[in-house]
Amino acid sequence: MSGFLLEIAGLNKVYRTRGGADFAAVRDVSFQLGAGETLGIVGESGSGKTTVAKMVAGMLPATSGRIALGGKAFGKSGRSRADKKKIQYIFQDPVSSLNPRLKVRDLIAEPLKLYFKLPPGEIDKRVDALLADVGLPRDYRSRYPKELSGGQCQRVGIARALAAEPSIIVCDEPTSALDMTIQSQILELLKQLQLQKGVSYLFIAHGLEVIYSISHRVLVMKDGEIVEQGDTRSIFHRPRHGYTQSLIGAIPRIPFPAFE
Amino acid sequence: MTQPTLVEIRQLGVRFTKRDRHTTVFESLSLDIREGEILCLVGESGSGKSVAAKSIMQLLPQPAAEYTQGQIRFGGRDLLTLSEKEMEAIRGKRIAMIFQDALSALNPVYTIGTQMIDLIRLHAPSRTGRKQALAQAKDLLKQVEIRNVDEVVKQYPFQLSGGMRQRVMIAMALSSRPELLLADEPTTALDVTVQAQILRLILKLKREYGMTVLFITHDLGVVHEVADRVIVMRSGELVEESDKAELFRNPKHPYTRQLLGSMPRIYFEEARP
Ligand SMILES: Nc1ncnc2c1ncn2[C@@H]1O[C@H](COP(=O)(O)OP(=O)(O)OP(=O)(O)O)[C@@H](O)[C@H]1O
Ligand SMILES: Nc1ncnc2c1ncn2[C@@H]1O[C@H](COP(=O)(O)OP(=O)(O)O)[C@@H](O)[C@H]1O
Ligand SMILES: [Mg+2]
Ligand SMILES: [Mg+2]
Repeated sequence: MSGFLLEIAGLNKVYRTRGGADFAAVRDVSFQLGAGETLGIVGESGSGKTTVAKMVAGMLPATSGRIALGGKAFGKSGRSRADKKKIQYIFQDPVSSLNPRLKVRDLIAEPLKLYFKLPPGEIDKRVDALLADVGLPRDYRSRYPKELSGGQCQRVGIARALAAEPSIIVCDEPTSALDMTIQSQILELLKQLQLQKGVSYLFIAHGLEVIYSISHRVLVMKDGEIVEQGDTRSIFHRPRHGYTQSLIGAIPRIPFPAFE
Repeated sequence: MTQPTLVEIRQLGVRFTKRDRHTTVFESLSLDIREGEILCLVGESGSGKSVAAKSIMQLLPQPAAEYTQGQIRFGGRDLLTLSEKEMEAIRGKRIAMIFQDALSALNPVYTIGTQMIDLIRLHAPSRTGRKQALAQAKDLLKQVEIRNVDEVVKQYPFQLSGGMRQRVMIAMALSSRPELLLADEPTTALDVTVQAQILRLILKLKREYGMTVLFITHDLGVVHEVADRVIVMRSGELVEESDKAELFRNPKHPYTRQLLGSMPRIYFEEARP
């Protein structure tokens, strides 16, 4: 057994479209994620990042390939509750990923109730702590998703994922809907959790600055395939593949003085 | 030189009410959108950027939302005093809006072609046949740089990637040649290369058709790329308003400085490839 927490080997996803034609959205994707590590995934939109992320999180069945957690491969028959708890997902799309009929309090309490046996008072306390972690005022507890801004919905989604205390969080564009100050607060929070509890992240973002600041290693996808993977510094400073070079080249350079 | 003003928001008050409890978003917000400019709206999450855009479109949920005071002047009239019927002649026609989340803006049960045909025929002054509307739809999709248009018109929204959906939504918004485009984080879910294409597209529409754009974003790289002017908001208030160059060179408000300061950056010690 290799020491990796998560091992993905030969993962494929074929979508059957209505016309009957098959579309291979993900082709032969393999990578590993260590405990306490962050693997960034970048790539064109439509390159299959979300599809990979959802398969890893068990939200979408793979057409073929192996996904193993702690050396044990997941079977076709779905995951146990304990396994689901271990891999949590932060959705790219904040608004439509929250159940519109639940209040913020119940949305965050849901994973707490599902995965832990806690007295009601303790649940309330944890909900409040999680709200504070993601920078939402306590009185937002009684709001419904439609009464929140996009960034506020996103933060509820992040709080839900954190609530389960997973060992891996698959983050699909978790901070792009947030302003720079909240974004850096959330990134700090994720880094702290990693230091304290050894959480691993599979971190998808199109903001390359964010990927650079959080990832140990980076994987680059194009047209359903991995074109390049390596440690963050070499990907950013010595990109080999033409597509990676064009991505790095497209990073806007803003000439302004540093503040603070 | 200052261009004439296209939209004047004056002392606008907006609040939400739920079971007798009020949440005020704006006490009194005033801002101008000038003809032909790209005005970027940045700032704190929850500060009211989307509410401001939806107020112009009169899209806030009723009766929960209430305009407590002020005016929104557009084309010589106060939009707040228009009837729903008068507003329908403006919404989606003279003023169009695009969102971050294209999936919820598109109808899941119809193909892209069907939705676009219906929309085009709705806006068409005289009777436009379905065939003709389909041809127009394909033209619009080509304008937003979609290559396989014949395929895309037969697809359903869920079958498209985020970048494709976003382009479809922009194509639909453009179908009526709006004077004002309200863009609420339209590139937030897109990768840098597709984002760059969409930004170029918006710049082209501004240049070629003189379209005015209110562009909401959290990405200061995007602001740097497209903005003429920038407004920074925080908890329902405008804290800074300036030309783009001035904002980056000399931000005045402490919050603006904090925003710029917390931007993650990449330090390239070596030459860029
Ligand atoms: N339907 C609603 N009912 C109650 N409150 C609402 C409603 N819609 C928005 N709000 C509140 O109004 C405030 C402004 O929301 P808005 O969506 O304009 O924020 P925003 O600046 O666009 O934020 P973000 O950057 O996170 O998208 C927020 O505090 C939000 O919670
Ligand atoms: N349910 C689906 N049916 C058919 N095709 C899909 C479906 N979901 C995604 N796709 C296609 O799979 C490809 C990868 O999509 P996605 O994983 O969302 O990309 P990314 O997250 O990298 O933008 C895209 O071409 C998209 O159109
Ligand atoms: Mg995606
Ligand atoms: Mg918003």
